[in-house]
Amino acid sequence: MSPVATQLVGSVLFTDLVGFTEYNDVCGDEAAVRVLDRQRAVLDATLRCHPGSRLVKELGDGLMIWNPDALGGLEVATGFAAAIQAARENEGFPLAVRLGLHHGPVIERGDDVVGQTVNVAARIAALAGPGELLVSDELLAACQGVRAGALAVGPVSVKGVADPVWLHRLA
Amino acid sequence: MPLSAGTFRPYGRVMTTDPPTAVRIASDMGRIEVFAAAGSPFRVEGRAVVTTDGGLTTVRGSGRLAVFVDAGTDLTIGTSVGRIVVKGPVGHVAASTDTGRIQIEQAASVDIRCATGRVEVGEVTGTCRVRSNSGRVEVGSCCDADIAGHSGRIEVRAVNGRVEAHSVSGRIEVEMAAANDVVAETVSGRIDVSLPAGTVAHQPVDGASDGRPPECDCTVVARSTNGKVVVTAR
Repeated sequence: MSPVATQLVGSVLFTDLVGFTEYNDVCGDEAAVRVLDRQRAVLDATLRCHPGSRLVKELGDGLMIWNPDALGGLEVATGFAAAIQAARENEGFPLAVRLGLHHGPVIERGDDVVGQTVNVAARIAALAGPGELLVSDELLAACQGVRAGALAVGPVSVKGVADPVWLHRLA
Repeated sequence: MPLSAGTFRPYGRVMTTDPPTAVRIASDMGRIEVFAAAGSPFRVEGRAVVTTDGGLTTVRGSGRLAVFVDAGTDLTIGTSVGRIVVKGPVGHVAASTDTGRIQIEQAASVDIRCATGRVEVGEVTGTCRVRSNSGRVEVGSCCDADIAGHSGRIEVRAVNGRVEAHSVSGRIEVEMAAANDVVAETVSGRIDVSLPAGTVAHQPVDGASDGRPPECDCTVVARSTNGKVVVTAR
C-alpha cells in the first residue's frame, strides 16, 4: 500500500550547465567530473547559508533544489548563480549555469518532490540563457517587493498547463 | 470607447481610442504580427480576447493575430508555435516562441527567446538580448549585445556597446562599430571578432577579463575550448 502523500507549497529551482555535453565530448570524462564536483561544492556552500533548502537530486549536470519558502528559494538561486559566476571569473570554471525557479504546490514522495510545479520549473530553466535566472509570475507574487527588479521576458506555454506562464528575468 | 479592466471581445477586430503604452500578446499557436506607426490607433485583427488594466493591455488569441500599435509601445509577445514579426519603431520588446522565426525591425531594446527558429533583429538603440537554441541569430545594429545560442550561428553587426556572445557549437561573428569590450565564448564553434581600424585591444591570454593596460582601447576575451579564434582590426 502506498504511503499517504504529503502536499507542500514552496519553490523548485532547476539548474543546468550550458554546453556540458559538448564540453565532456571535447575535454573528456575526467575534466567533466571535475566540473561536476566543483559545481556541487559551490552548491553545498550556498545551501549551508540557507538551512531550509535542500538538494533534491542531481540530473547529470543539472540540479533540482527545493525550498519551502519562495524568498528563500530566490536567495539560493541568486546566491548559487553569483557563486558560479565568481568561480568562472576567478578559477576558470569553464561553463555558465542557467536557472529556472517556480513556486507552487508539490507532492512529497520520499526524498523527491513531484507535480506540475516541478515540471514548470524545469521548463523555465530550459529557457534561460547562460548565467540567467528566470522566474515565474507565481514566484514573484510570493516574494512581494522583488518585482521591481524583474524584467518581463514573455509568456511561454508549458505542456499540461492551460494558461501561458509569464516569466521574468532576475539575473 | 476605450476598453476597461475586464472587458473582452471574443472574436474579430478590436479597437480602442487610447493607445496603450504597453501591450502583452499571448497566443498558443499561429503567426503574430505587430505593426507600429506614429499615431496609430490600437487595433487587433484575429481571434482574440483583449483586456486592459491601467496602461497595460493584454491580447490573448489563437491563430493568426495582427496588432497595430503606436510607435514606441513596449511589447511582450509569446507563442508556442508560430512566427513573430514586429514592424516599425517600438519600445522594449520581449518575445518568446518554441518553434518559429522571430523578426524585429526596429526597437529601443529587445529580449528574445527562441527554442527552434531563426532570429533576425534590425536596429536596436539599446540592449539586444537573444537566447536561441538551434536557430541562426542575426543582429543588424545595437548598443550592448548579449547573445547566447547553442548550435546556431550568431552574427552581430555594428555594435557600439559591450558584447557578450556565448555559443556551444555555433560560430560567433562580431563586428564592432566602436572600440568596446567583447566577451565571446564557445565550446567547439569558431569565433571571429572584427574591431574598428586602429583599435588596440587587450586580449588576456588566460581569458581573465581584468587588468587592461592603459594604452589599450578595449578588452577582448574570446575563448573556445576546441574552435578557432580570430580577432582582427579592420
